[in-house]
Amino acid sequence: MSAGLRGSPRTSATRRPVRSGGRQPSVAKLAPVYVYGIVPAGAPVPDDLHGIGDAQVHVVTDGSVAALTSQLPSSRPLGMAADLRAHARVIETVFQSCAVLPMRFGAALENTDTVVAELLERHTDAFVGALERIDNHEQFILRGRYLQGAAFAEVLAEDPQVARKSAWLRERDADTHRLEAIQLGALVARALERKQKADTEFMRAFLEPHVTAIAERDPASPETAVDAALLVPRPVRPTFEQAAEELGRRWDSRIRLRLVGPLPAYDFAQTPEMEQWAS
Amino acid sequence: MTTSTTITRRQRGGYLERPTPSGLAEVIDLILDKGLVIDVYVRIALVGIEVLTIDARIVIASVDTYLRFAEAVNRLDLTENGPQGLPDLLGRITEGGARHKTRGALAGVRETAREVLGRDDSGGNGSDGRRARSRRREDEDEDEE
Repeated sequence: MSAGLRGSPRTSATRRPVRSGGRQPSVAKLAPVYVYGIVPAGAPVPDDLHGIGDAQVHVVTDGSVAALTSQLPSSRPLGMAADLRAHARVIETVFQSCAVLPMRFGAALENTDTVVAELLERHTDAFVGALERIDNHEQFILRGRYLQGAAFAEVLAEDPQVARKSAWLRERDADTHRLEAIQLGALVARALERKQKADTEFMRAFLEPHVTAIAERDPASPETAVDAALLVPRPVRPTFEQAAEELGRRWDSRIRLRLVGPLPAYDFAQTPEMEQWAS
Repeated sequence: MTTSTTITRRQRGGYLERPTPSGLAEVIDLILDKGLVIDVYVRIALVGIEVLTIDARIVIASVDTYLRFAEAVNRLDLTENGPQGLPDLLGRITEGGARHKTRGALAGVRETAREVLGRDDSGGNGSDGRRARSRRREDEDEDEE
């Protein structure tokens, strides 16, 4: 079945995430444990919480930390919209009442013992530290998109090179001057990038008083003005939302702002170990 | 079940879009790209489950995008009396021809997410996964590139 689902027929049915060696357990013979996230021991988790494949969510505890897990029902590939929803829903539900370090989608271990031995026992301190940092916080995502007319008009007005090239091209046949058009477009893209940096700086300074941390995200497109995750203390939320609204008002003529949240702290879940690994 | 996130409300003064609720399309890049990567924490006990997911990273700045920008700026230049009437013109450029042309380059996770959601909501299965892709390196061979 999985071969039919893939773009590339040569891929085998079973693949693993990053591996550095070791034996390959047969998926079919195992009942793998899916891991949604890490919570403090004793976290209130509803009894009727169900996850991927409608399997019941179990809390696996070791000392002061615990993992939200469920049995993976079969070896079918994961990634359908329902799976993604289930993953998000489990984390979201628990996040309503306590801190959660969300795992990235697709984390599975051999069995419950492995969850304890490999994940919880070995990293207790890192998880405790990370959970303390995000405790009583909510994540928001702030995305801004340049209003097309406004952004291009700004670039044209501010960048003499763009204006010159554009004026030159306008008097010529577009089809025979494709190279020049591409060059002009690249100039515009670079100008938008500079704009993006300046606007992101402005946003940072504007919202910094209300947030614990800001994580800039890779802009989705050159038309993205700002894209950042913000970690906001729960009690500060109303003030933060007001400030975001005020930022939207100031930018109303040129940027469309969108605020998503409150969300679990996906962007702030990293422990120092992980940052080390990433660099 | 939540179907889409097209409903947005603009609060108070109306300067900020607030999607209600924060549906899958809003958070799919979080689920796929953020959060703890379990590989970092475990040594040998990973289970090789197959994950069919779209690649949340987004390819930007292709030649098509540049051409679209150039076209937009040039049209802007033609309208001498400022931004009046521009949104229409630019709207046509982006909603019309250029959109499908640049789709391969600009197709982002949110757009793809909407397709995933759309399929899911229409109750389809099986071949629905055709466009779903693994996050693995092999993707680079695939024709979206």
